[in-house]
Amino acid sequence: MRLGTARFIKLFLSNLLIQSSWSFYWMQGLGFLFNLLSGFDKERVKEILHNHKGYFNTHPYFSGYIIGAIIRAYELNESPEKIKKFITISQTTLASIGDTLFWQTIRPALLLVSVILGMKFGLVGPIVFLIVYNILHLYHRAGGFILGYKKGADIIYYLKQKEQKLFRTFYTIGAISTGLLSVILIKDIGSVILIPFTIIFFILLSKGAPRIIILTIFIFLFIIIAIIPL
Amino acid sequence: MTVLLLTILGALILLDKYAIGEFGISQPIITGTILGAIFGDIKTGIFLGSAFQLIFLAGLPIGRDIPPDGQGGGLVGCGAYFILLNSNPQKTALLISLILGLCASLYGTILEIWVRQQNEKLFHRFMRNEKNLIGCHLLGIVNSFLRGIIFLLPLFLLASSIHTKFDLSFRIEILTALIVGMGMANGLFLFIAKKNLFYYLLGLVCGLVLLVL
Repeated sequence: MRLGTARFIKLFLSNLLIQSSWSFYWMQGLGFLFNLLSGFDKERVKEILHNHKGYFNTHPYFSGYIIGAIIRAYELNESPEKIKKFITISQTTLASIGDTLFWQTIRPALLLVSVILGMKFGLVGPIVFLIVYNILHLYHRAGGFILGYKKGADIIYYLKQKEQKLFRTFYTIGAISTGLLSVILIKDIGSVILIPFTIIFFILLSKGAPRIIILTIFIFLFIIIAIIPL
Repeated sequence: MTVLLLTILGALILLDKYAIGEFGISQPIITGTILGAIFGDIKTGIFLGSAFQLIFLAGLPIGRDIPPDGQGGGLVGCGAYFILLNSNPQKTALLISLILGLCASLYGTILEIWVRQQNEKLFHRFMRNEKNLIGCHLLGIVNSFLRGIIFLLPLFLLASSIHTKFDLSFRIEILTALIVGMGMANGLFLFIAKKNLFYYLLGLVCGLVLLVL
């Protein structure tokens, strides 16, 4: 069994739009159907719609793994109940893996690196971010369909083990970048006043204060400092 | 004309946030660079983009949470700076654009909720007529684009209406320390744990070595 080039391209391109109609209640529900149907013939549209209409949410870069595995399951004539069960489990698991890996680790780590490079070497910083980030992003987005189709439901266990290494690498890069940035910025600013600011915001973040509240405090402080006469 | 073109470009860039691809183009450091290149000052674009990037580094879009709109804030801040520069001294333009960008990130969150509510209606429309799946789904892109226009146009118009002749004097070093403090807190929050402390210290040492060299 093969996914085929034409089908792969259709799946990949429609996957870029999986979050286009993101909503609070159904989340990626429409995008998931839109993406999934691009992998099937017209004869199966009614069946797929009937089976998978409703809520769906996972990490967008990891959705290809699930959709690849679903296509395989249909081709092996597995029961809709079994497929639905797989979707329920996999969407939560891959959302958790993807959020931790991309939103919490890879993206902020690479952005820190790009800020450091940007401040020291200009254009190099943003370019490095775009290239490295999108190699990793597209590897998962595009490769997900192939691997999901190949591994089927086993994809969950496979990814759990595989992504640990990538997570540790970028977590380390993030820690080194934070240390490096601390020295560079303290030197550039030449003011120790940033230490109390760092401590205040770190405590707020660690205590789980809502981001909106932290930002409001930040804006308030910013305006107060800006209007105090010199 | 500049305001209108900047609004359309900005709304297209903001599609990258959720609606199309998520390639990271809407991150403040990238939008700062793009706008800097358009207005012929990449260095300032990267500087402003980096400032917004540090402020919004830990805003994570997880599940139903809507963090402050860092991408939108960065775009407004960088765009407003180059608009303000036409009729304001540089320091004044910098201060006003930073404040505008920060406030815009809160306003952007409200519009984000509006888009999701509009998309909810698209789902219900699809439920009434299942043949309309593609149309309903792709209308989500139109909603996101409109959101970008509604978000950016008034803020860029506001920036273009500000004309001052005097250079605001403010404590730039303390404001920079505030921005950097927020950035460092974000970095520490995301990446520093007991098991990772060694790598943070390694980064500090590398930084010190680079300074000495």
